[in-house]
Amino acid sequence: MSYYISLLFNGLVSGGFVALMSLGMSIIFGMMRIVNFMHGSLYMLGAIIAYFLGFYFGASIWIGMLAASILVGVLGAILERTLIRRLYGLDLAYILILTTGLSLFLEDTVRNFYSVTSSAPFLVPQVLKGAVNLGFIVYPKYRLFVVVVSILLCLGTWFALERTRLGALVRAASERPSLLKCFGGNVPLLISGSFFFACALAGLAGALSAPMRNVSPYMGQEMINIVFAVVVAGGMGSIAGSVVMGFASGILQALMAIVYPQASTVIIYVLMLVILVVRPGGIFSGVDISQFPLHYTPMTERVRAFFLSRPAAMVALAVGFLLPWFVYPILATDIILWGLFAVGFDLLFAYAGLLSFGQAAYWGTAAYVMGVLAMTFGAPTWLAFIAGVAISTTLGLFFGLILARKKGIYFSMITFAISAIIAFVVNQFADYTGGEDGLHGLSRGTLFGMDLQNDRVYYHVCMAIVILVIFFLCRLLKSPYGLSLLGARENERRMMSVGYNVFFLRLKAYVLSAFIVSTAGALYALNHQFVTLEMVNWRASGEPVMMTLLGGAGTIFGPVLGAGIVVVMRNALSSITDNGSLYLGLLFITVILFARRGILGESLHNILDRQQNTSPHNGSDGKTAGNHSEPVHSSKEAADVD
Amino acid sequence: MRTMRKAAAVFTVISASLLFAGSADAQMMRDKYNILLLTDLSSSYSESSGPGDVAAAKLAIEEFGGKINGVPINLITADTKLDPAVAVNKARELIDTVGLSQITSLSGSSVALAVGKLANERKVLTTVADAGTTRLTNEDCAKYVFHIGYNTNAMSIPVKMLIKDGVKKWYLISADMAFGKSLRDSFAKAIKESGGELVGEDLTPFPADEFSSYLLKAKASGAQGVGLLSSGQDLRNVAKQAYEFGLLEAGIKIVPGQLNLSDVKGSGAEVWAGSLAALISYWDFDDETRKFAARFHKMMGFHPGDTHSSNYVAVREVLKTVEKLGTDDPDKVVAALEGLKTGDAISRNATWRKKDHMVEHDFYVGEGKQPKDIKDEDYFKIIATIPGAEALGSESESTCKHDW
Repeated sequence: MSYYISLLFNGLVSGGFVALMSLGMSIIFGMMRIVNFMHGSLYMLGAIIAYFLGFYFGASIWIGMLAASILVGVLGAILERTLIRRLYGLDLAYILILTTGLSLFLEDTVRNFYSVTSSAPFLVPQVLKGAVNLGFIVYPKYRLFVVVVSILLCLGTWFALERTRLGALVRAASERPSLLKCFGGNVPLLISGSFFFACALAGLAGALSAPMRNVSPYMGQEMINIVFAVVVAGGMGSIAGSVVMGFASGILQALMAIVYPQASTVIIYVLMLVILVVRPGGIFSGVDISQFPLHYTPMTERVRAFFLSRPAAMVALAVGFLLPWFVYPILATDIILWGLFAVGFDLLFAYAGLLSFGQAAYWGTAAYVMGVLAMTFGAPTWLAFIAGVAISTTLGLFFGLILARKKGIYFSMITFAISAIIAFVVNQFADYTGGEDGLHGLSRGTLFGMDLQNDRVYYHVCMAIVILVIFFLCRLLKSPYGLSLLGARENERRMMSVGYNVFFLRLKAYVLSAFIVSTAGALYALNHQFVTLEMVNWRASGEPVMMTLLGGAGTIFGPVLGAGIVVVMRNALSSITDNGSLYLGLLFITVILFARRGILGESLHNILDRQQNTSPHNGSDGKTAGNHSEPVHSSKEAADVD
Repeated sequence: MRTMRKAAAVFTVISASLLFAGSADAQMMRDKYNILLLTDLSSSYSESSGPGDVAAAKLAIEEFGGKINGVPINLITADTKLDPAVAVNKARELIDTVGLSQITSLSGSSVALAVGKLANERKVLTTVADAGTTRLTNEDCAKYVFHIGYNTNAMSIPVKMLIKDGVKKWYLISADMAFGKSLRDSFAKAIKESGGELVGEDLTPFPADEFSSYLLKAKASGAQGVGLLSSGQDLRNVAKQAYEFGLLEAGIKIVPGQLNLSDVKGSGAEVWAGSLAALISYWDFDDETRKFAARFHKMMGFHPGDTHSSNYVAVREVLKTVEKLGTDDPDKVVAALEGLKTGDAISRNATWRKKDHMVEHDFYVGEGKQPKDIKDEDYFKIIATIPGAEALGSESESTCKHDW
């Protein structure tokens, strides 16, 4: 009996951290319709600050908590005022990139000063040391303290928001900011204040966890996923929902630890999936996010036409052929395959308007299926490759049927949950997939007599495949299907009223994207000759989002350029400096703030669209070399929407 | 006249080529002797391996004056972050670009297995000094890969000793990856062979920092001994939590998967006081080891741990062999290492086994000292010395096919 009660308390402890973080994220979302993906880094900062104060100044947890919450809160408020404010009302993807860039930057900066992983037991003051005998159990005092603090804070916040005047003002500011301004409410102050409070909560949670958990620059990363799932399951923007789900998730994880430890993380995502299917919108009704604004800075007709034109293709081909002479061939293959992955993602994002957080599911599944068929069942490589891609695409069809009806954040979160479940399944069949160790020793085999073990030959084979896929994609986008897909993104109702089956349009796009990503994934595994869990990890799902937005969404070659930049930066920087992630983070932040269309997109927008505005004639100047001849009237009509 | 000149030219060319051909037998492969030290510099094993490994390798290189057979020794260090993918990519890139004469450390069994496969394919001599999986000398044995340091069988010696003392019921908490699984198999075998009873076990996610649920389960199962089958940061966490949740107070014995000095320091000496652990080497064993430890301490500010010392031996023995042969041709070096018998302060009575490429040497069983008895990182009292074959498993027991 005492055993189960101890477990319950353990659950409340870890649930407490999640609840505090979810509370903060819900407040931010409720106020600003922004999902703060940086929350994990703020948690980490709180822990670091507490550790630092304890280690160097002998401070106790009281000071640690106070300092961490205030400092992190202030940092959050500053970031909100200077950076995040600029992205209000914009597509989730931009916020994701900005806050991810900030996370990378923060994590790497911290890593420079502090790289050892260890916990901070020295923070625990004498009064909280040791265990307390409650009669029915003997439990460590500090953990009990954590439970009490988190419950008190959550209750206090709820009370403040629901029963005090300040809380009423905050709620008003989140529901009807303009009306509140008319009544004289200082809305910007309320927003910044709420952001300060939410970030302070994260910092406090970090400080509280420092004596118990490994304090490391990356401790926020796993945290943020669980917190996000909890917030969605609880109802985005609902305080009660986040708190209840937060504690519930902790208890659930503690229970799984005794029943089936390997599933203790994935169970949260399964729960979230179940909740979203049974009761979309989360357990408690939060903010209605089906009206979530998805203002995406679109590509104009001219730029799109440029990308679908011949000269652009020529340039791309030239770069493609020359690449292995400038870069280590395996790296070059990595670039084009990540590029292909990003292109597959971009099809879904820019053309279908669906932000998928889980494309890595196909990237990895194709690779693993191919790997298992080749290694365990001895299938020849080419056969295993085709089977891998086919099975993975079929999986895409299956999930697409579930997903194609969803939109916005729910779509994104369900894709995330799906990829987490796939990662779990892969790890479960460790006898076949190698589990944590990965599947090594894949052979590339031969193709039509060419020995693919030669890295340069393999590069050109991959390039040929990438070219084929991109060519096919270009044709597709010029076709009636492509245009109807764009139409569905712009105005779903109108398309439906004209008679298009939007569900099928989206489903086709999803399956196509899964196919492209599967191909890229299987080729990638052959490039390195191994498959590891990294390929189904949520981080792999985030890469194409970064690469696409970096290069320019909706520009076909933009994602490939983005892939090139990210891969080369990661690789080159790792030999020059230890701070690769820091610079990458800065790059993301800069691009999102100043070049939202991506590097390629923004530069072309400046070259092509400015010309249209300054010259009295349209489009067909000699200056825009070889611009595809669009009919005159459509250039005039293309509204420059931003 | 012309024929004379022609003949002279031909003669010169032939003799010149013979001159080079003559010394081709005893020649280094490249103009540098490149050693790749692949270790964990930033993740869970960074303190048990990490910079300590690098220092140990440097100490070995120092003894040769930084040169071998006339070419400079170049130590390349790379961080694997405990990720086999990163490690294989890095190793492959270096093999393809600068060429490698030796790969060492390979902290983490998953990394060791993956890089070992690659190194064997590309014929690069590899000394795995920081991993424990028994697979390296059984189903995954390879011509160019030597396993030095320890394997998980050796780590289970304290279990056998404790069962003899009456600690019969055991619970195993293992990390769910190659090393943890190998530990689990070795410990389960040891429990069975010594007449103990396995009352329960758990496979935990890796890495993790929350083990209280498993520890509570272990306590509730009535186990008298608990195997904490991980190492590095995970071991520190689980041990601390075992102490926190009163397992040690209740008299339950804990045995670690692989314990290093940094782990005792990290969890706190009071956690390990009175517990037994298998040690690969111990810096405070005698005057000889203390001399080496002093050199290491000067470089790093702390004393060498088990795996650090193994790297020193690995690099030094290979360099000695290369010096004797006059070449770093991998086939010749492997042939010379097989059956090599050496012995020094750090690895006593060592044999580089031919069949399974395991390096046998004496192991020690250390008992954690009470905090008040510890002066400066002398955390253990050595209570037994176990010969290598008994600890690691004998050469005949290995399932390695030795098909080379």
